[in-house]
Amino acid sequence: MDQIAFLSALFLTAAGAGVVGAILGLGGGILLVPILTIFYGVNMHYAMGASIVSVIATSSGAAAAYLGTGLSNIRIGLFLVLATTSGALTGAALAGVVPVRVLQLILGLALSYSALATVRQLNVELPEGLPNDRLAMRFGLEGAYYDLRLAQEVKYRAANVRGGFAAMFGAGVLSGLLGIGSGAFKVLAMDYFMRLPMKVSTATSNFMIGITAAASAGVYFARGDIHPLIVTPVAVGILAGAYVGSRVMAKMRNATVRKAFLPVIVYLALSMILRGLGVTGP
Amino acid sequence: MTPSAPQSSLHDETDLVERWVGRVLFWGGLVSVALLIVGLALYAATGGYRIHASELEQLRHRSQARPLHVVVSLRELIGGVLRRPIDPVKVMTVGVVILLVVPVIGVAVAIPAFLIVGDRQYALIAAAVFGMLTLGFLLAGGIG
Repeated sequence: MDQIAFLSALFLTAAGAGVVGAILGLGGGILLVPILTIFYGVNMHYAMGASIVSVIATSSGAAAAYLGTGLSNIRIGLFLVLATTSGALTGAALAGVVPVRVLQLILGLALSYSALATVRQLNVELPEGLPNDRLAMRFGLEGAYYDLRLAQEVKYRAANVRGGFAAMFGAGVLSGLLGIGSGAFKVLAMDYFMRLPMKVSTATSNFMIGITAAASAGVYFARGDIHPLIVTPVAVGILAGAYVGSRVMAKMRNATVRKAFLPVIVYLALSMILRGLGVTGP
Repeated sequence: MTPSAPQSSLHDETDLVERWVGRVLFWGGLVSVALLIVGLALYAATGGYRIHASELEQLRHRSQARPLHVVVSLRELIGGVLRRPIDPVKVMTVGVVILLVVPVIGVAVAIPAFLIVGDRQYALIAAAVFGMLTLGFLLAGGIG
């Protein structure tokens, strides 16, 4: 493959990852890293560097579009980022102390349970009959957006904030320990624990992943993992893809977004269980 | 239906914060992309593809020695950008660095925005997040 073909292929792959990432609230690293390393033979370090840039690009592209619409809730985002970032610092401090494979196994099982829980509420368009959460009121974890698909204003308030905050802290610890992206956990915590509308969950996750990724971007940069020739087509592709994806997502049903999200949890669950069992997973 | 209707005024207040942060993310992304595209175009125009034919191999097998184009500190980057003729890859790198700091600037901008709408609690939360981000960059030692 010559360089122009290589760069174009990277751009197109990244654009696809950007669309998916913007809709599902993920950084696209989950798609990009295996594709870059397996199909294009890119060195793992550069693939990880490209992944961290892709997370920030997805976040900037998608959150810029979502913030004006009320889909991305900046208060909920910042509140939960506090949990994730302090969790990540704890995780980094625990590295080497905790047996990683046991953790992977536990995480895999927890994710399998989440997958089942997601299946159970797969068709729920908007959560109903939630109790008033004291912390949600105290921290203003609520908002409203105009749903283009339902053609109505949707008001929402977080439930079970304590559980959501704890889950986000745990997700931060695990991402610090295992070096995995935590976009999927952010969405799960908001959708499953805090019972926010699915679109608010993925859009707010999009806002948050850029911040958590920026926290570690300096490390990748200083290590020389960010190679401009790989990262440039990836960043441009992701930004273009995220722009398109955010527009598509605004018109989707909450239930459709959740259905699209399910395979990601199943993939993560299987991959963690396999790694925990010592099988080299995907 | 949600239990009790969230206060309607909250959304208007948040609007200002969301607008400011949204604008930072949008323009930051745009400036970054512009630099990336200009850098890539210059790289192609100056025969970058011919000169660095070994580049692909380098991407696949990372050796101990740092490849030609990878920059690991801001000082090195600024020096590279000021040199003439301009190195297109350094232009791309500036675009990448801007992209990396966009979320940090977004959080920084949220602090005064929350203060303006009278939400001291969230100004404090944003400041705490900003502090942790700055710490992350300082600990890395590369950018700074």
